Amino acid sequence: MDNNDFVNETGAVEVSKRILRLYWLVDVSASMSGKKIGEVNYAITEVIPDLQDEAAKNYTVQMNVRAMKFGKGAAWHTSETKIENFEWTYVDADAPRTDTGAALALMAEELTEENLGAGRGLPPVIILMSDGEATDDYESGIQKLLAQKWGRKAIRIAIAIGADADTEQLLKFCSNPKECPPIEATNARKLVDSITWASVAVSQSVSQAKVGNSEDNIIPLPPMPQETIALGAETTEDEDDDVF
Amino acid sequence: MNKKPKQGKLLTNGFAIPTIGGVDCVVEELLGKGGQGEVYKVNIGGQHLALKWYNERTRTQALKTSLEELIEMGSPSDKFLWPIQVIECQGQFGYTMGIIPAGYESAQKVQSPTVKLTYKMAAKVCLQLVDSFRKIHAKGLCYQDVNFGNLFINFQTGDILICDNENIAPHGRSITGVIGFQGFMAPEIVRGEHMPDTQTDLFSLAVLMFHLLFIEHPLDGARYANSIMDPEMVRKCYGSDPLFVFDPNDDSNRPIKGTQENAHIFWNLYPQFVKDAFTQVFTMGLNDRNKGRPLLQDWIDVFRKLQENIFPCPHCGCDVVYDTHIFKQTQQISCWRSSCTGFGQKLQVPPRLRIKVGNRERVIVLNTDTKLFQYQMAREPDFEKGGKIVGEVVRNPKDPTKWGIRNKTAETWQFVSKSGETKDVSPEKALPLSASVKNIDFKTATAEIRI
Repeated sequence: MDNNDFVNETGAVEVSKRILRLYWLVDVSASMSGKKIGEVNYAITEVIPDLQDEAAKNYTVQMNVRAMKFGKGAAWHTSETKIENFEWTYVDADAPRTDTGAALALMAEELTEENLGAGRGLPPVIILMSDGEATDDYESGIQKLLAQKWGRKAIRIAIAIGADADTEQLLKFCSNPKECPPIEATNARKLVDSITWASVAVSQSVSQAKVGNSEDNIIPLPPMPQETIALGAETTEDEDDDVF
Repeated sequence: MNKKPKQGKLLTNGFAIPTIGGVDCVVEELLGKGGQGEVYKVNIGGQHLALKWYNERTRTQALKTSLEELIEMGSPSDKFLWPIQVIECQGQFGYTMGIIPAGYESAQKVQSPTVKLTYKMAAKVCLQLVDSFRKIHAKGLCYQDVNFGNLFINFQTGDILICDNENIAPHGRSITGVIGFQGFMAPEIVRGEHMPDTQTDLFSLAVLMFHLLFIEHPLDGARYANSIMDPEMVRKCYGSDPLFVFDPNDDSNRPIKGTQENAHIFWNLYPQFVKDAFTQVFTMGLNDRNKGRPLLQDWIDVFRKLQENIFPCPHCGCDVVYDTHIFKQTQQISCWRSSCTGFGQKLQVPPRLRIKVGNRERVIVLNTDTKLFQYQMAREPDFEKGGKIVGEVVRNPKDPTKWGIRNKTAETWQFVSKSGETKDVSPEKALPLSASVKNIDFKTATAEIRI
């Protein structure tokens, strides 16, 4: 009896998967326009194949992704989609405001138990990317998010883009403010690296159910990538140093 | 089909690293990346190898020394993708190993909907795995990082390959800082009470084999159906309060019906002696790390016994296991396939040979292609020597309706015939398979035939 016959005869079913949800919350205020939003679009496009590769190797975790844009208010940019089917459509940045509070409130609505169920999932990963200060009620957004069980359990990572981002405000969003305060992406290379790290390496840690040595309930985050130059690379001028 | 070669972050494609042997190691493309570094396909003097290159956090002098020791020691068997050479460049380093040959796939594929191990495959894979661990433990080392990602299986032949061997280290020490992979680590490691050692290897190996046979995780069942797997729950599930999904005395953590159905399906397919070994490690063995876990030799016995008790269903030809536990309970062995006419029916079981070595007894089902092995006839701790063929089931050329066991040893076997006469079976002669054959003497073992 060959394998196919055997599998058919046993009545084996598809293995049960835990769902890992990854959310990208993108600031589309006008100050993000130009290079910054271009880099965000580029980074997300680049990271998708890596996430798909990871997903193909993992039969027990289903990764779903969803993106939100916020500026004047907040709205979902995509629906929740299995990573293997996910395609990124570029976002533009031209909003006159930075309604981060609205984004967090919308995130809270997504993370209700009615919506996601009571469990058998992995903690979601939420990546908040912003270059400015919230222009609406940020505090109440945070409160709403943390009022949800899934929101409290989420790995919440903030990426502060450029020099004007309000890192103090973003710090309140972070799930592990001590070890992972807002990542300051002060150049294009750092921005791409941090989006990649937060999306790929962090979700790997979550799906591998890593736990720290201490007794706390914080998922240890993998180390941030160091800026390295590959051995054998041409040592020309570093073109990623432009101020933006 | 020409795919653009993938570029890594640590080494540039095309870069030639000088090696001690004088031949350059030329980087061709990125094969994969992980927490410790990246793996590249390289070309050294026309030979393609894999080069694992460590990132800054991982490359330590201790790791380099350990790798050099492993290389010096040499591969314990051809089942390991063993480190070949340490390659250094500008204060960084990595090591070369063979590339996983075509036909081998991640063991994790058993979790895909289309691939499962048959009884024969499961026994073959697990025996190689257990024997490989025996070879490591015999050198005072332990594997430390048992998980699905490190095992590759050729699902056509059942051959295995074990990779990522650089975490192999002396009992109780961790060179790379790797203490295991969540879900595979022994509870005492999850609880922070122990470093990896041979006892924790025994646990992790059992988790891996449970996954191979029963697909789901042995500790993650209904208790966690409504939990978000945050560190608190993970620690409870795998460390502080583990409960076997098939615990005979507590059914509160059974695999979730429907969701984790595979575990129920495959658990029901296996004979009691296989289930007993897993039950032992995941009940007693959760807390009693010294005496509760089946030893490698115990697992070898379990999977050899599985091999010895498989026979083809006379109705459909699929493999069925002669499970003495079921036979004693129900007086019959049935086919497990619901579509077979032998389903729920009493099957005609082939003749069995009951062999006694000292006070140890084993029953072997005699199929038309059954071979007898050295380990069945004598106390033989060596796995390879034990695999030597000492007898084989053959048809009587003069009367094709009759069968026998050909003596493939240099000794003369004896038996007592129906008339009470002692008869010799010289080498290359065959012992008749008949109910009237009594008091078989294989010299190192005695036996009787059950028909």
